[in-house]
Amino acid sequence: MKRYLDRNRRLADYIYNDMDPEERLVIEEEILNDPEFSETHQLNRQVKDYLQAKIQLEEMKSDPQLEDAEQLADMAFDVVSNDKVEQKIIPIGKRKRIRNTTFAAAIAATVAIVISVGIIPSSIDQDRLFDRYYEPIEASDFSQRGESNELYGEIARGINFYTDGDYSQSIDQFSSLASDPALGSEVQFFTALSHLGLGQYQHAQSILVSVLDGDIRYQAETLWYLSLCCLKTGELEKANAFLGQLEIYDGMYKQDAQTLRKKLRRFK
Amino acid sequence: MEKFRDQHIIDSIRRRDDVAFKYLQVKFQDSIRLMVSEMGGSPEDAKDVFSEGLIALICLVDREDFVLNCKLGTLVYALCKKTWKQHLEKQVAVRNYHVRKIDSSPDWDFTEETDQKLYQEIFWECFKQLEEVCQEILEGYLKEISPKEIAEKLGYSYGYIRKRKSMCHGFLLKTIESHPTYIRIKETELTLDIE
Repeated sequence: MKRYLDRNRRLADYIYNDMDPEERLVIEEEILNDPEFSETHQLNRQVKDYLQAKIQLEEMKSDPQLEDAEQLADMAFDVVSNDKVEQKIIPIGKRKRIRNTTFAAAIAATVAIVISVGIIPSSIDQDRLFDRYYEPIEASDFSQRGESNELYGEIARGINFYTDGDYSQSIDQFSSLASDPALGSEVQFFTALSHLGLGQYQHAQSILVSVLDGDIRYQAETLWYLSLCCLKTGELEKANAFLGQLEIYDGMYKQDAQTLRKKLRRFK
Repeated sequence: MEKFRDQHIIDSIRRRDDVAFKYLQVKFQDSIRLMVSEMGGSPEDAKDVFSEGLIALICLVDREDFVLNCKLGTLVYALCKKTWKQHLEKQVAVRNYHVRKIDSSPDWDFTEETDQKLYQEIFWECFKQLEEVCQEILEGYLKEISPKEIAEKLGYSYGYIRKRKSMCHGFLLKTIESHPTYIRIKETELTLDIE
């Protein structure tokens, strides 16, 4: 026990640079030759490095001279005019962008504050996880089929709107085809994905559930996007269940589903 | 002393002395990385922000009208913060035109990042739970103030400060290792390793 305490004391002296050069050599050798001690050292070092950065950052943030530093920073980026002047000379389109930017900066600042006081709302992580995994479907094979007949030609038009990112147009196009039972699942599937593209997650989710009930052709894709909708709406258990169903499908979805499930466990 | 050192670094930057850049990197890169991380950026973003911040610093000190009227560290912080804000503005602008997602960091491991953030929260929370004197002693060491100066400031002997520092750090580590979230992450890591 005494040896253990003595070792930890020496380790603290070592990481805080409070040790003679000879003693440093001895402890460095111990770290090198003892895996368990090496692991302890790593954690100690990680804690010390983080606290050092955090304390320095907090000091910078609360420095009374920060305003002077910010003025110099403006000078470095050649920002001569202040916000008011900028708003007077730019056209309406750009004013909108400024509002968005301010909003984004406000969000970033809020996130920073929230994190710094030690609360991370799980939705932030869910959003980031969604952003990481969500991608519009590669629909080239669907649109190629559109050349085969007139009906598929209409579908292909809708899919092209979707692949171009024009989700409102694709929803309009698909709504005109919704009454044809032969196209039901395809139309529903891409309508749902278009809503997903527009950020209408609940809507996308309810359509995808009916696709899942009705047709076996898009099962894997539907399960995948359904799980992402659930992730975004905070229904993590449901997301996990849909991802679990992807186990029987080989390929990309299965692999991504496995990884995503592992990550979801961290939220529980 | 600090003012003198900062001015010396500025002069070295003007001479493009490598030592100055090495100093800036060792001294400030970790806190800038933390700043970017706290504002939602990835480690890769942080690297870019720090490099661009240093380029801005070089441009600034090269100006004839430049006078350092604040701490160098605070200036680096302000430059990097501005760089990061500009980066965010560009991201928003790009999103306005391209609805589809652009993955700027495909290799970024989200799980690692999440764990790292949780660990950092725990470290900070446990540090804040320490006795005030422990916090002051460790803070002194972390700011690289000499133990002698810390002892003088707090009214203790040099030997006591050295011994107390080790005790405080040991207690901090114990608190971290018994933190429920820390234990949970470690257990999850173990489960994933087995899988």
